[in-house]
Amino acid sequence: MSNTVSTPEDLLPAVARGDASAVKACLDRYGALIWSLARRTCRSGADAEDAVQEIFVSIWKNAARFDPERGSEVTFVATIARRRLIDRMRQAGRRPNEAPIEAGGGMAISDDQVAAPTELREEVQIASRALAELSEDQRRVLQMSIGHGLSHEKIAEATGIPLGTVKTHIRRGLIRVRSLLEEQRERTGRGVEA
Amino acid sequence: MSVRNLPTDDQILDLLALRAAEGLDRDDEVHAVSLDDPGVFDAAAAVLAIGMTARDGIEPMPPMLRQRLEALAEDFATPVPAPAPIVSTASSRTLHRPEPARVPWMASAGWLAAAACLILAVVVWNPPRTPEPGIDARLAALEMKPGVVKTDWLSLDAAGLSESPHAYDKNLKGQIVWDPQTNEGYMVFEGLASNDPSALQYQLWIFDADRPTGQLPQYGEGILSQRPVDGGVFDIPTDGRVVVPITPKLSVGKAAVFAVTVEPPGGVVVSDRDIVAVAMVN
Repeated sequence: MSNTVSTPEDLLPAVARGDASAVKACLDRYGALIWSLARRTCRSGADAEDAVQEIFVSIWKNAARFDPERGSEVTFVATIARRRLIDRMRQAGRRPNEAPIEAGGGMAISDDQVAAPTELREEVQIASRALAELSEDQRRVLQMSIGHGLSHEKIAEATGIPLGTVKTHIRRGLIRVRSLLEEQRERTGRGVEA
Repeated sequence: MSVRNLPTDDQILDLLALRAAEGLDRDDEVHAVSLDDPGVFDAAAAVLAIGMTARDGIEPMPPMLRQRLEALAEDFATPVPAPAPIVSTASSRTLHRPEPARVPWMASAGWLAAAACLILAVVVWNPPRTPEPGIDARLAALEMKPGVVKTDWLSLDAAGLSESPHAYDKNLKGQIVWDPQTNEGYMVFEGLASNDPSALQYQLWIFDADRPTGQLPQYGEGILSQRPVDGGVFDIPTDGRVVVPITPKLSVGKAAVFAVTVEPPGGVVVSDRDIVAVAMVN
């Protein structure tokens, strides 16, 4: 029997029940996001394809752990994707630092610039708000770390910013985003943990 | 853990931020998972990654990849039923099974009535049977069978794979009991570190002398160069004695080496072989 999956929070519980249509709907809803995340950090298209397969298997296997009261579904999915991507890069014996950094790496995210799919809007807005509050240096460091997976040491080398300051920028950026997620939880009754 | 009660120690915060941003080396990871909430920044990092990726453009995945994923999805949605993980400890002898998936009450009500009728019919026609024996009884019964293999776990240093035991090896003892005819088997552990299933899980791999070798030449030329059979993902809830059933995903012809690795939650398809223990069959 297949259940109708209509809202983001319905999907993973249906996957956890083994609903075949939900397992495939997961590909519809998150395929492009997972692929795009993988492409940013994987060395090659083939590596990204392997990573995407591993990520989806992990999402399906862990679907029962999703709790909508602790965070949004897309955040849960992206958290699993990032964890798998980080694991793969470390298993491959390299730091996630091979991707070229485009000139606009430290740009803030403007809502006007982003044609994000509907299910990503909330997360894009939070990222946008957090980055807007940071200095140019802080944004650049976060972009290089979270956006492109450069190690703290590589960021320090590339930017000339002392390693301790790089760590501080990343820590403060993450704390700020976490704070905004907390505010979101208070508004919507949803938590901050994926 | 909320923002308001994040750790106050900047070094801890830096460690957890590093974990969310680029992952940790093994020793730091062991330290991090011992903290209250090692993933305290994971959601924040994921949200930033979503925002940055959306800014740069979300691309559709290649059609061929999509097709492969759809095939995987079909396999996943119709899995071969696997035995429920059962854990038995010497101290409690308590069986723990995962809770069954919850079914919406409205959807289940009709089925409950039908199930009640069915149970009644079955009880009328069949007297109650003896309950299924516990895992220790099944393990003992298997040990008595002729042809069953029983071999001890070896630490990494004892197996010659490393100069010292793995960090999760807490003076590990135990055996594998394996029936080559039926592929039924059990792992007995004592002294394997308990794990947080949300951070990592253990996975068993079975190297089969009847299967081809050489697919993974980075591991030499012998049997370790083959793609081993996935023997199942499992948890160790206590450092005490734990018995875990083996659930091979493929038929094993002639098991030669069993290896337990540390993996991300849910396990992996191809392991990077962070091996904790091995057992060799003569």
